[in-house]
Amino acid sequence: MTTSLEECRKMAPGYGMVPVVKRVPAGGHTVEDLAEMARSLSKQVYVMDHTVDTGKEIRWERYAVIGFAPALEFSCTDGIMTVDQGGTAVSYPCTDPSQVLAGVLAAHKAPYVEGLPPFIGGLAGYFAYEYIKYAEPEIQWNEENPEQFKDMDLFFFDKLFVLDRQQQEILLIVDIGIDHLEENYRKALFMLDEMETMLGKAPRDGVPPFAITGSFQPMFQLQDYIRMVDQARKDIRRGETCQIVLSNAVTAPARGSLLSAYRVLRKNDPTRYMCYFSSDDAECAIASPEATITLQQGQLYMNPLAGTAARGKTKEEDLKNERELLADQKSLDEHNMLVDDARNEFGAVCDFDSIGIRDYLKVVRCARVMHIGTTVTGRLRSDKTALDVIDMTVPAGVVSGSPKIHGCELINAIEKNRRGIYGSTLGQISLTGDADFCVFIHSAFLKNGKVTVRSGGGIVIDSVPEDEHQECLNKAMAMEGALYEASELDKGGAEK
Amino acid sequence: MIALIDNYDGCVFNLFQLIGHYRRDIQIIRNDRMTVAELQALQPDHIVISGGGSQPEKTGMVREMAKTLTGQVPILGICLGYRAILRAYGASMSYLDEIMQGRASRISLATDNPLFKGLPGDIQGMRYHSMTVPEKEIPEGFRIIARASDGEVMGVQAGNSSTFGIQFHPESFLTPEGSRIMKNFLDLD
Repeated sequence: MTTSLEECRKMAPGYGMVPVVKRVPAGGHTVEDLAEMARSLSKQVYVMDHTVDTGKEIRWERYAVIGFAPALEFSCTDGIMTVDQGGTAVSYPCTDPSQVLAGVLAAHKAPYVEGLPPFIGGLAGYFAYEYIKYAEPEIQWNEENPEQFKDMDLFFFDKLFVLDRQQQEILLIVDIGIDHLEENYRKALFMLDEMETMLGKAPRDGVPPFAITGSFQPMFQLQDYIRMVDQARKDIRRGETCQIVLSNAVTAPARGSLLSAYRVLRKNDPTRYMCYFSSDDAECAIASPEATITLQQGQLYMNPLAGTAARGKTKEEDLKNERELLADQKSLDEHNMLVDDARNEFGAVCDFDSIGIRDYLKVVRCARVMHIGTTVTGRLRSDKTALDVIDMTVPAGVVSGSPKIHGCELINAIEKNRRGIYGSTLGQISLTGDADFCVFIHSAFLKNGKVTVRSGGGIVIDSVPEDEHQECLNKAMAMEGALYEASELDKGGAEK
Repeated sequence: MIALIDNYDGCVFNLFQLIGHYRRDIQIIRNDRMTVAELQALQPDHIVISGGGSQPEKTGMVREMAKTLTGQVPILGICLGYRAILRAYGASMSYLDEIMQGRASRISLATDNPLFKGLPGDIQGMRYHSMTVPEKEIPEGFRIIARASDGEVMGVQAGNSSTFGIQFHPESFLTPEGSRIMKNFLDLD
């Protein structure tokens, strides 16, 4: 079943693009299979998938998005915007990348169509931790960028594969411009046939095998980290900040693709956001529990998580851990602060009297840990878009500090390096305006021949420096395990 | 117009929303983007000063503004805004023994004060502070109008003027009576 030309004509008035959708049976195709196809055909790949905790089990949600070979790629580094179209790149100075992206979305706006997934094409990728410097140019940053981190890297997709688990179908989506609608529609049909053929015929064996070729080394040694935590505690004592999140990274030389690590994470650690991102610059495997923003037809949601406990081995132990977590004053303080911060971020972009909270102190369970969560909601102002929300919410409170602007300055003064992809906000803005982003935590990236796992912890006045150091290493350990498993699966010969 | 002075705060838009329930003509002004004279020229009818993660000495024009405009325009300082007003009148700060960052307290209010009109004498108030103004540092002429269950001063009024400061956060979701406090302030002439 394919969208007809007549349907396209009806949808078109007032929009820049309309989606042409063909539904085919899913057959044996899984997300893993489609991702391997995508990565075999292109180095520019985006996969977005979700799990949900129903209270009884953790199960996969209805839709999974697989995009590759985007029409355009927008990246911005230290005020230089680069637009890449099929390998031909143009660069120019840019102080306001948000405005560039807003222009792209406005020109290609598509209508909501009943029965289509939340993402039908549009922008997908990440806004790095340091992206806040465009909204807050006064923040003083370390100017050095030896790892050449980008401040943002986003694909523009006008064609997509979406797995619909409920209907056991694959939606092939091609978005077409409404000028020359008939001609564009004919081309779209041709493209949809080609995509359908790909499903059965395209190669899956073009993914470079992953190999860890050395041992993991920490960015900060114990003694360094103790000094850093002590500095943060002094900042808190002086009233400079309520809380800041310090982080440590472990890095190992590696080659190949992180796609097999993504497969291992999907199997071992299914979390709310299960994403994979690959560009010419970096590859990311993400198992993040935390949404930064979800925007659905103007309704905004954020789900700040703070306070963590291990899952119990038995049901009784699990409930006991939950009770203890909810009785821990420090965790509650930290959580309340994040709820107020989230309300504040929405306060800048939402209608008056539209902001609320629900499911206050609801414990969110992941495969290995549980967190205290609360959902903050609001109605996006009609003069605002997802990009304005991004400007307010990057970097997320859970990886920065409170208040955020000065928190970022304090973190930068202590860590003295760029975080780049760690702490970024990764996800998608659909042509309809809807958006869905998670925080880049519990995740790994591969860049410059090295795989990095960076983890942080919120520092408060009575944080114990040795414990904080250990907590970062513990958080990284699960991901390191997944990376070693992937390396062995790919027979890359990990050297432990 | 209501001037909302932003001390580079993490909650200034919560204040924006709290005020916005009653009045929509709000201008957010960062503490170092304007002089007191420029602010005066805008003729705000009420001024609200946000909290912020900094010292009272690093609040741009706020201290000078508090001294210049007290008695002319109703002023409400919150958290750092409260401490900056008291600093302007000579108070010294000290540190809390137990830091209150994201924790609510019971707070007793002087219900005969116009800021707390119609409120119960004991409310829940959200606190975000490690610095405090000890009672002995409250400058002469200021009256204490709110106090937390741990004894810390939580609110002051400058004489009989319409300049107020409160240490707790009316804009927090854990201060259920915060909206009423803001309404009382906006009702002042």
